[in-house]
Amino acid sequence: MVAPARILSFAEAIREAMAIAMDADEHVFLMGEDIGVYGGAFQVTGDLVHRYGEERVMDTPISELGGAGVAVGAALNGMRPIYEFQFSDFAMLATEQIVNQAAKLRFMLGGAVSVPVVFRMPSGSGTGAAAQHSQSLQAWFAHIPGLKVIEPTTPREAKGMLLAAIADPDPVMIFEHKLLYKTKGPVPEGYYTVPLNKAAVVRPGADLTIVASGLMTVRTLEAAATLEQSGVDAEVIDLRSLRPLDIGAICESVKKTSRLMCVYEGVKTMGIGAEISSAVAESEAFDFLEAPIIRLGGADAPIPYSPILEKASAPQVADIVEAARKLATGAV
Amino acid sequence: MAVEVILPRVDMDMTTGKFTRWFKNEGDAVDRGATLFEIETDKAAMEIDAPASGVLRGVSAKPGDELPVGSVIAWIYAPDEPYAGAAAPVARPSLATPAPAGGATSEQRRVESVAEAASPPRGVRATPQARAKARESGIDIAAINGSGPRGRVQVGDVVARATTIAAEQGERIAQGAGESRPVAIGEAKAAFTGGGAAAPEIPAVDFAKFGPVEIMALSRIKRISGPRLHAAWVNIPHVTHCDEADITDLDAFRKQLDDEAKADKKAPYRVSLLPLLMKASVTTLKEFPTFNAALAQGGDALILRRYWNIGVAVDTAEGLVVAVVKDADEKGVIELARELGALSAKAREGKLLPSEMQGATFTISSLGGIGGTAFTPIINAPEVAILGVVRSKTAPVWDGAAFRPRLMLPLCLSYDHRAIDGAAAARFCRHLAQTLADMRRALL
Repeated sequence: MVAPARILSFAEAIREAMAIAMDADEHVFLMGEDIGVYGGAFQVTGDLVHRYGEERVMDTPISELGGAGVAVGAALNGMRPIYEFQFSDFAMLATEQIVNQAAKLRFMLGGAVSVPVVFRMPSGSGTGAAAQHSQSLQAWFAHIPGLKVIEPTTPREAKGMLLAAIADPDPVMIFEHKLLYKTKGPVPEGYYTVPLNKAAVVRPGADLTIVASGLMTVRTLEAAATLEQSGVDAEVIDLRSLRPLDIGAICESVKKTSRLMCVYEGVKTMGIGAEISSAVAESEAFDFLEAPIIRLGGADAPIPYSPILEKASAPQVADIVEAARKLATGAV
Repeated sequence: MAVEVILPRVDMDMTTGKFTRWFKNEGDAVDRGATLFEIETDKAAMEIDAPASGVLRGVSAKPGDELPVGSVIAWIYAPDEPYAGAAAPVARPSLATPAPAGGATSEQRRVESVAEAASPPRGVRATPQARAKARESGIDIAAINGSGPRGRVQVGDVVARATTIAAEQGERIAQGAGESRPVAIGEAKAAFTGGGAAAPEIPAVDFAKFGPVEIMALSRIKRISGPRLHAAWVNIPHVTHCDEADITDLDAFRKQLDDEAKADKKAPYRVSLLPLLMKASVTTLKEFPTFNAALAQGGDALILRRYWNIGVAVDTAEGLVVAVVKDADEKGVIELARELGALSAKAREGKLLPSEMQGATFTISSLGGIGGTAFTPIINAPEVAILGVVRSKTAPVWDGAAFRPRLMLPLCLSYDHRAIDGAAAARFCRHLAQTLADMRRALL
């Protein structure tokens, strides 16, 4: 019998996943800036340093390139490191290690090695942290073969996907929206995994398909509830993984609804929505489309510090409702 | 890049619109947002703004043209953009292709001439699903008028076209069979006795022969409402039932409400008899649901409507329009009075939206402010009944012991005899009169 799920926050679920992995496998350890005594910038690692000691919950100097390099090297030598970027924006300092080393080494060395490292990526806007600490760079990394890029939405998925990521033989980047850390939901006890390559239909519907991930899925579900009141029945697909992208699930849904909208917080231009819409346009689902594919992405601008402008730069519930209603009623 | 000027969809069920006038001419400078042209739907006239700033080019729509929604009727070029005369770009050109074997309808022909005048065709706007459906059904997608945004062909248009083609083929087969059958003289006579609605025409008269005349154009509203009234008059077997209601107490109550309304500090309004009539009508309509119905196509069923939207005929300088108060059953008299005031004001300014003129389930036409003793209102099709009221007057009423002066309101209910019988109409009017005599009944 499955034990009843408890209610945990998204941050607690991630912490629990890391603790379970460290209990199960002595090769698992954590690295990152201020993740020890301070408990992490967003209190995700919390008390883990006291439970597992400073050798396994390692505070690193302020050098993302150095920290990520140590993590990649340790992974090459059989360890299972989890490296936390304090803000995912700082991963740019470590792109050489992520893109040119972690993603490539299995291929450069003919499969003789693998790099089982996990990079944790606190991301997104809405916290008043301005342009250098608020980006959604999923599309950057989803462009790189050799990486897996995932973005859980619920605490249950956060724990299960992180455990799957730790067990995965290849580098995985897990994007964690900062506004989700305090959201709560049921989380099963013990060890379980959620697949890293499957999207989920989180709300079935008939009139249009809305594809989103992470916080955008939460907002889209809220929008779908509003839309339902005015007779628009939206199907919502939570991507969960951005690389690989579960295009099959999206196409199946489009064949049913004939209308597709992509909601993502990353900058609209060259974003996740561009890939989804062109993949659908290339697929057999093309012949089922009854309207243009709509992208509702982040503003083409650095995230502003002004709270009002910051809000305006990312899709909000009302934006999703409006765009979906137009699409579903044949106004576009 | 040149921007298309299209005939927009201003109403959900609109498929064509009548172009009535340009406010700018070919070659004029236009500003985005400024009024550019005017169209008429079957319900209203609307002014449409320019979609961009620039120079108006390739004007193709002429007053009187009946065009499908989404037709390109002109282009707006950037001031320095080269313009190659009639060879303007065209995005919705499909209609210039030869009509299907069954022969084009007059509407298609009109549309074609407009499209040809604009410029040579290039491509068809259609959704991928519509294209797939057309391929599958062997239908030429270029021959379809799209109902989507900018005239885009949607899958429903292809399905409709397929249905029409099938029906036309069926008709031709039936006609072919009829042609070869000789008709005996006696048979023809027997067939004629049934009669029909083929009304003889009223012959034209040259009035100038008898004296000086002047031509006055009918107002826009009259031109639109005329054919609709005519259709209702000739298609519906009207009967008008007359009754009267004692509104002595009701009118005293109305005056009290009206005084309070006039004294409202924030937003004064007026309370006429109409909102009270609406309230009483809803009460009676709920008791007699067939009066809130419409006849189903084919005339073999009634569509009972479980909402109560009351149309009110409003007299405007341009002519008669019907403003519709939605969900009157959910509103109190004060709310009805305020809404009616706002709608009437909009109607008089010619600003009513199509959505504010449709969806009525029952209509009231009041001439009470003017006078009269009775009249026979024409049913606002597809409704099945309309209530006409004229001026109330104080009359002696026998109460069993003596004549008392009572304020009596004449009621004239026209009903569709296909849907409603005389006895039901008499009961409806009695119920309404009793409700008006004692509005407490509306609470029951």
